[in-house]
Amino acid sequence: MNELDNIRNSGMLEQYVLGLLSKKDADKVEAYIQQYPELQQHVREIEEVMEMVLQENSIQPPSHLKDQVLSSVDQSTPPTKVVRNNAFNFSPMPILAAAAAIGLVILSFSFFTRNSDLSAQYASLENRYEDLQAACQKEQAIAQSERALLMDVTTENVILNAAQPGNTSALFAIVHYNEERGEVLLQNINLPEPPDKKQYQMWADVEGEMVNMGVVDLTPNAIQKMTFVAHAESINITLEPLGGSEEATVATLQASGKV
Amino acid sequence: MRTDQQDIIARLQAKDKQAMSELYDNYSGALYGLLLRLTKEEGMAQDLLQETFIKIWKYIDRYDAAKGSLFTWMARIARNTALNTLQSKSNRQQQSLRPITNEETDKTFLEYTNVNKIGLKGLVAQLDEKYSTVIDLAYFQGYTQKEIEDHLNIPLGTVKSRLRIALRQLRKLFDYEQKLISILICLVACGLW
Repeated sequence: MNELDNIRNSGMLEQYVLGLLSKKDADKVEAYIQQYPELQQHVREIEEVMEMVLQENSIQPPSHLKDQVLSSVDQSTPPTKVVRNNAFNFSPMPILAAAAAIGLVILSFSFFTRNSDLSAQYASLENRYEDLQAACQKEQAIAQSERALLMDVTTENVILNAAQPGNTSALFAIVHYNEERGEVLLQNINLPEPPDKKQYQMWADVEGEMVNMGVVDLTPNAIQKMTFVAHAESINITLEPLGGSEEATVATLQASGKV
Repeated sequence: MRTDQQDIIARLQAKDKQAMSELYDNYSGALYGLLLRLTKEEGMAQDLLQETFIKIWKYIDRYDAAKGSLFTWMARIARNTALNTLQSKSNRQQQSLRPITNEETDKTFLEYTNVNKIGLKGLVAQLDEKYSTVIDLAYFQGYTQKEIEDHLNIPLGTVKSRLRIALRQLRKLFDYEQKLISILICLVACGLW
C-alpha cells in the first residue's frame, strides 16, 4: 500500500472535511492535498456527500431572519465598494435550465428517431426470422419423411444401371420404392449431364406399359421425391425433350432396374 | 470547480448584496439545521446563523478554493462559531451557577438544551445505526472523538473507521440516487414521445 492509499484509508480526509481535525492535523492534510492533487477529487466527493447530508437535514429559519442578516451585512460593509450593475449581473441558472431543456428535447428526438429505426429493423428481422423458421420446418418435414422411407425395411432399393450397350455396369441411380407407403424417392448417383434441351424422365413399367413418374431435375448425390406408381415391375429413365413427354421415348432409355 | 460557484464567490468578493441574498436562500436551511442540532436552542441558533453569514461576508477573501468547496468552508465557520459559543457559555454557567463535580465537567455543554434532540433525515438515516450515530454525535452534536469513545464505549480507532465507512456508504447511496435520477430523466425523455 502506498502513501496515497494510506492517507485515503486513514479517515483523515473525512475528518478534515467535517472539521473534526486539530489545526495541526488539518494543516497536514492540506499539505498532502498540495502534494497529491489526486486527493482533491477524493475530498471533493466527501464534500459533496456532506453537502447533501446537510441539505437533506435543512431546517428553515424564521423568515424575518433573512432581512436581519442582510441588513447586518450592510452595516458591516464600508459603503465604498460599488455593487455591480444589475444589467450585467445575470445568473447563469436560466441559461443552464434552457440548455438542459434543449438538451432534453434533442435527447428525446434522438431517442425517438433511433427507436423508429430500431422498430423498423426489428420488424424486418422478425419477418426474416419467420420466413426462415417456416423454411426450416418445411425442410425438416421433408427430411423426416425421406429418412422414414429410407429406414423402412419394406422399402425396396432398386438399382438403376446404365441401359446403353457396352455401359450396363455403370451405376446411375437408386430408386427407393415402397408399395405400402405409396412413396418413391430417386437418388441420383451419377447420371451423366443431359444434352442441351433434353431432360431425364422416370417411368414405371406396369404390365408392359410405361407410366410417367415425373421429370428428373437433380444434381448428382441429391434425392428427389417422384410420383408413386403402384405395381411397378421395373423403373426406367429415358431422355426426353425439356419439360418431359406424355409417353416414354423408349429408344432413349438411359437406365433401368427391376423392382 | 463549478462555474456557478465561481460566479457567486466572485460576486461576494465584489460585495454584491444580491449574491449574499442568493447564498442565504441556498444555504441558510442547511446551516440552520446544523446549528439547531448543535445548540438545541432556537434563539441561539438564530443568533449564530446571523453571525455565520456576517463572517462569510467579511472573510470571503480568505476563502481558498484549493482547500475545499465554498459550502464546506461555510459549514465549518457555522460549526466552529457554534462550538466556541457553546464552550464559553458552558464554562460561564459551570463557573457561576453551581459547584462543579468532576462528573459534571465531563458532561460538557451537551446537556444545555431547550430543543429536544432532532433526528437525522435523508440518506444518513438509511445507514446502519452504528454509522449514523457516529456522524450524528461527531458532527451534528459536536461531541469530541474522546467523548464519543466514552459515550459509545468503543476505542478511538473504531470511531475514526466508522466515520470513514459512514461517509463511504453515504457516497455509494448518493451515487446510486444520482443514477436513479438519470435513469428517470431518460425514462421521461423516452416517455415524451
